[in-house]
Amino acid sequence: MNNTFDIKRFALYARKHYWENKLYYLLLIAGAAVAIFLSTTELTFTPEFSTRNNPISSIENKFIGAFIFIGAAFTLGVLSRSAAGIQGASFKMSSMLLPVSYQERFWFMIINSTIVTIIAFISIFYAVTLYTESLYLFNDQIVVFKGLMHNGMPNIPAELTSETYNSGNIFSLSKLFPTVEKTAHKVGLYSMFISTYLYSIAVLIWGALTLNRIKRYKFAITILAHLVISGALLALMAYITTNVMDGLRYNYDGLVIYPQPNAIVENILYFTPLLLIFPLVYFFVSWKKLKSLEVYN
Amino acid sequence: MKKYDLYIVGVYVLGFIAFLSVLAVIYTDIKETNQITTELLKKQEITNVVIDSCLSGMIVIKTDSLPHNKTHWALVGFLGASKVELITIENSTLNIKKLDSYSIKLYVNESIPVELKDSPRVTVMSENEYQEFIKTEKGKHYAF
Repeated sequence: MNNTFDIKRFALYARKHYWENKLYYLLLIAGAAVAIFLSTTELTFTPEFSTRNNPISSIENKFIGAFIFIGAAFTLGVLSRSAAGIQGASFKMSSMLLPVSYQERFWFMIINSTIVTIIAFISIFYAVTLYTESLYLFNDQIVVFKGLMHNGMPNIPAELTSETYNSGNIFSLSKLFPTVEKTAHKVGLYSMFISTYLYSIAVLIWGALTLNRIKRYKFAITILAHLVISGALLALMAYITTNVMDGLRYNYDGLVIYPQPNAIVENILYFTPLLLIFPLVYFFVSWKKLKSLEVYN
Repeated sequence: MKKYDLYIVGVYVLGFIAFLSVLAVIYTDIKETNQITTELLKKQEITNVVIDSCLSGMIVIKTDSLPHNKTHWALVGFLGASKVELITIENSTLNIKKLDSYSIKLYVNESIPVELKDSPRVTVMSENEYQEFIKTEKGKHYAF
């Protein structure tokens, strides 16, 4: 087996993976669809209405929350199955038997848990919400839930019925990010979002390879260990920052001065893409480990 | 743990060093700003300035030396915008600049002429609003 990347072998490996795990993926997709459906409706089957201060915002939040939390669970589900091909006691045997190199395994795992997962989840989300969005009518004051089968309108008081209602277009991907005007803030926001996403995936892949001898709960152990370590680091950073900043508060003849470093923080935000080093080094170490696990080179 | 895992430990260590460096840069920046503020205060004989650090907080500027030698208060809501160069005092005139992207409330208890240039979100806080504000949990620190 040559340790090179061959697109044909890669495609065959992907085909084999999806075929052998078709039931798992179908259940995952169905589970995600049901979860999206339930969390983007009012969890009731009968038409009703409610009056709210900012109805569209409350419905939007429901959709955004569903996208983030169910998306994270879906990614974890795909990742746990993608990583199955590189872990466990049977890895060496399967490695010998399968005509696939570590590079192909590695790239399949990365592509399957990022690009394929994102496209698949967005497609499922939009497919389901295309229907659930149509269940709502709203204006500045009132949200109307028409019932799951569009089976009628609730009894809305006469003084509210004269209002014009909007419907549909409640969720779009752009609503995941708050509107930011400054370029520096945009750079910071997108860098942190992408870094966090890739970091989560990279850490779990690294965990699957590092805890190779542990049979169960590898992801849970990896997540717990990282939460403890990063929590301790963040606490230490917060402690240092608080003490340093408190030291800057000073009295001038009875005047207390404590200015904000606003402008300089904006400049620092331009360096946030450097955070990508964290997921990249995890990917690199995982790649090296996978290579070392190969029986022959 | 294998030797490759040390790369990860190394990145965390480097990240921590980078964090300390950034903190040092911010610290230096604030130090310089403090010096500018001190000079400004000496020059203008302002008797009381309190700039709070919380993001949703308020800046309170109390002066005794503006035109009529009476006590004037300026209360400015800010969102990380209290960089001292944004607030200057020249010829006994309080200038608040480059704050038009923030939500601002300004309180003056004497009739200082306040000119609002290109600052559509700036509103003048009335005496009643100010009295109500200082009764709140957030506002009680700003009462004189």
